[in-house]
Amino acid sequence: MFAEFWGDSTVVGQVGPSAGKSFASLLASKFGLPVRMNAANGSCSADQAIAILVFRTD
Amino acid sequence: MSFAPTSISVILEGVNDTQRYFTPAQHAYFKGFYAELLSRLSYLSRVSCRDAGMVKTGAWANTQPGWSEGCSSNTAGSTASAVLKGRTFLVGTTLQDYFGSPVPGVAEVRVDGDLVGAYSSNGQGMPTAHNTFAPAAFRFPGKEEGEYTVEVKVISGFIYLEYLLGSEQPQGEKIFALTPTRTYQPSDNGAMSTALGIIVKQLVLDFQADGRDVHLVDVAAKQTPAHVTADLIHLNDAFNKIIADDVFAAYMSALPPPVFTETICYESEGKGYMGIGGRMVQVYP
Repeated sequence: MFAEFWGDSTVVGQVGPSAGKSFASLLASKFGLPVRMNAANGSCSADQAIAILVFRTD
Repeated sequence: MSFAPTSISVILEGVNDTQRYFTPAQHAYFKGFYAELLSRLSYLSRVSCRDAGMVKTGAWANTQPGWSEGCSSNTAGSTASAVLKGRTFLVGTTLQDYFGSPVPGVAEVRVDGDLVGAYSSNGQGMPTAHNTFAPAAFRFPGKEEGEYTVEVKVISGFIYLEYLLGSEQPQGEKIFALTPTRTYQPSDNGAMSTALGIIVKQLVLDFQADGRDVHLVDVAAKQTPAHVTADLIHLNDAFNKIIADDVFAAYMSALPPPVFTETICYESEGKGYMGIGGRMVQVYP
């Protein structure tokens, strides 16, 4: 099982929070799960972008 | 150990994204889009416009976007209906802007012949990437819990229909919906995130009323100017920690009482469990 994060760079940790300190990383660590980041795009301009953090199996 | 394909979803809309919804119409697009997210995550089944279970009359054609599973009609009087169980019903649609020149339309929604509301596929001015199409969902009250024929009838213009679904069905994912955060740039007085937060709170109540496993985490209420980076836009480390702490606390409080055991994990009667901090907690019912 792992935590999979979908969102733009604002929330995956490329901009804003320091590496490993985005809420996605912190939350996944509370569950003891590895986190996979999936940036919707390379900037902060994802239209109607919503960050979704899911916990699921392979 | 057994888990649902996806057990938990956390939804955060904030910072740059919430700066895109200025007008009341755009707030309505946000509501439709967010409802669509909750719908997709919390309901396991739906009858798409292209399914055999959708009975259509008049003229319908498949919708253009590649992600669409729906159809559209610009022939007044065309109908699409499905037999669904529940006491509330969701209509999934595609909003269209057509680069600023949509063909606004209206469709009526009936439950066993009784008019319960109407919707439009007009997405003029919506803040999507290509100003053409965007998914949205609308919720309609029905009657007592039961099985009904839900019908969409084209009254005018272009109408898009992705799917119909009823509220009586197994749980989907456990969802944590976070209130939208804001920037602290001079142009942002916080009104937009506040308005969108009201929408999120109401949608959570609506979906809870329909029996969905949806939980509000009001992180926006804790945000201060000290919680953004030097650009006054992005959430800093301190606030990311607050979000993680609050979602985790909401997750723990949303669970049934933990079962203490030394076993790491087990599966019983279709229920999934996982070990957290030496405790066993139910992951999904």
